[in-house]
Amino acid sequence: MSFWRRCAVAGIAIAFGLVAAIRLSPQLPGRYTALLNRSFLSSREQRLIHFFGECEPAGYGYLKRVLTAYSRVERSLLKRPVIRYRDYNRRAEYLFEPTRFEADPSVLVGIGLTESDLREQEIGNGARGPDGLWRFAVDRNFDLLTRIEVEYETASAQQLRLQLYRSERDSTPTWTSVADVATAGQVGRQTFQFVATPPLRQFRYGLIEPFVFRVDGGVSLYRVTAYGVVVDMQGYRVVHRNGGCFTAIEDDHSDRWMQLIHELGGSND
Amino acid sequence: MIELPRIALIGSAVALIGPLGVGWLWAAALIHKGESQPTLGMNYWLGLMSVGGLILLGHGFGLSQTFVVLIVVSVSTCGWVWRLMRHRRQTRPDLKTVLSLSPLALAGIGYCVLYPVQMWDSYLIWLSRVRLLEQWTSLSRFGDLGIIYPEYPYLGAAAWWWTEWTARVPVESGRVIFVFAYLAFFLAVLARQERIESIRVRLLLVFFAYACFSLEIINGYQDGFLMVSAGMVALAFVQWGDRGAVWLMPLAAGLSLIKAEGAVLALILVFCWFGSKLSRLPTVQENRLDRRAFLVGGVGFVVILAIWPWLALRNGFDPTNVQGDAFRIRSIGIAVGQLDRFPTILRAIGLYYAQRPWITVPFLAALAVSLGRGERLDRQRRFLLGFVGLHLLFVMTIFWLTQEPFEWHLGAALHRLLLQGKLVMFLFVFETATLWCTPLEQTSIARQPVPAPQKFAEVVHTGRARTQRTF
Repeated sequence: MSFWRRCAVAGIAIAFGLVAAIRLSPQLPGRYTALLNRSFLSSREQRLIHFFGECEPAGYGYLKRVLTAYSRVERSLLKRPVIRYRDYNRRAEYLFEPTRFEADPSVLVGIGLTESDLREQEIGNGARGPDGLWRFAVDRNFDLLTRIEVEYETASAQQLRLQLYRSERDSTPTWTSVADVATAGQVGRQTFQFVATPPLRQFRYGLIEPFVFRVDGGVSLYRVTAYGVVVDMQGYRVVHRNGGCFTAIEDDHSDRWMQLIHELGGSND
Repeated sequence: MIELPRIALIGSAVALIGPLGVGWLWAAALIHKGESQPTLGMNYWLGLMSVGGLILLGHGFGLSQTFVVLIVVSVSTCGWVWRLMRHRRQTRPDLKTVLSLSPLALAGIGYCVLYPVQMWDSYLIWLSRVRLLEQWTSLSRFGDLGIIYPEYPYLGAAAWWWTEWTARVPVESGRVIFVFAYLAFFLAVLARQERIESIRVRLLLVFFAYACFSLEIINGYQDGFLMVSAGMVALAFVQWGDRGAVWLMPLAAGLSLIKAEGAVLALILVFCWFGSKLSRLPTVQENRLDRRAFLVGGVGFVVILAIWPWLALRNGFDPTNVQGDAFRIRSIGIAVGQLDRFPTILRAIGLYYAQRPWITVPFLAALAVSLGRGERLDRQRRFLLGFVGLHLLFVMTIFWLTQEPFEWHLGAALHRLLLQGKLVMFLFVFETATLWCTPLEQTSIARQPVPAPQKFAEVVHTGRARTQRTF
């Protein structure tokens, strides 16, 4: 038998061996069970849905459906809707062929988002460092920072000054707020709200470092809590929803996207 | 069900044919210059680097996609024509090696075909470049499109694009080149010892081929490819030595086109090779041929090293921007203030190696055997050991100076950076084991210098004669 023929025979034998090992293994780890699924093996589309999901974790199926309808209206192969996830930008545009790099803000697709992600919610409590700064380690993106709540011990101080830095390395604060917290006659712990008017937009995108608050005023602070909105839906109207996935259209563009609204409405949810 | 084997077959065939064709031209050039012919594994990697380099250059300079494709196809075709018409003799991997590595190859190909690229920034950095090459979007636009770290080089991604685009297979299948590059390294190492018939050496190689393997190497991220490439350059230095300086130095600089830290790896490799025998310096200065080889090699090294910064500058990027503000140190005080990170860095490195005893234990054993008797190491192992040490120093420096959140950066990047030096560690183990396991007469044959038409001042292969008493 020639060298290459022997190689081929050996290769086939090994392939059969691998398949047999997978088939006959009594305790197959969960991550490999998909290998026994015929549709997973036979279709790339099924594989992408298997890994990225219809709606969660990455909404491949839903995005595909929206994009099919979207591309009937928008002829540019580079444009895509704004795609928003619950935690951070997962850059789903790389999944599609051809790649659509140019985000079109007139259509917004939310993936794995609940109603609470569209409303104000607690971002988190700050941790006070030995330098007196309050650090917020947040592993999610937030469109808006709406308010800060501080809990403090009643004191003689009249004013509290709060300065926000997007990261420790920033030398100039992004936002400064001064409030009169004098509370005559009251004792014990008090809370005070610093409301950002208007809310700080595009507050947190892709930053790894904690954002930082400096609070001055000579009072003892017990807790500093930040509130914000994950996805700012102001100016958008949700036209289709499927579980945690939805499509929203910018108010001024409803007419243009009528066909997309019809197609999504007509699809099976 | 038919779809999968078809994709795997076409993807693999294209991944092999294109780079191998270009690799044959390397072989032709080396034979023409009187050098020994590269082994099949080395040939493949040389071809792969050249294909990626050609595409990166063509794209970076704004040439049309058709033109670049035509160039690559023509070069590859020329290589194959030369191979088929003129020269058929070459080291061929033996059946036992092929069989023992084939499960790894099959599993690797299966993974590349079945598993899409993960949706995580570190992987998408490279996938985005493949996608942009599909559309042949100009490099100058990379900065406007919101892709991650647009200032990164992308030789590996270019070779990946070539495979998936030429084979017309889904994008993830193009990653089979990384499987083949990894296996090519082990075949090249084995071919270097082809005349040694020690079963223990072969078993060791197969063991390490499986032990060193991880999905990090083939999932699309480029540290695995950089690891393979650093290993290949180290192997080429060990194999061709000073005689190859004229082409090995520019080749080493090619690492800078794979990833930003490739430039540092290239500098370490070249520095360690020439630093591993300083006594050569006077003879080089006296010998005109030597001087010319090092001069040409040095110029080639600098030119290739300068390609990416130049392309970046030409396309509107800041070549000094390596990773945003991550390594912009505003004052010496900051660097000094961060010295207290070293215990944490050393602990993390220790933990990394403690969790990988299959490379740590053999490496330490090889180190103990090599240094234990107090005898002088041969040049090859001095070079490899020097690289391992300096690379470790480089990794520690990164985490010492980083301005990213320290704990996060350490957790996210340490294992990938240490991966880059793993195959050089393996080479050190393998070189030591080869001397340990094989009889004197076989070793001296296998490690003898490559034949040369020109007379060099000194071809350095101390070989077995000095080290034999050690074992």
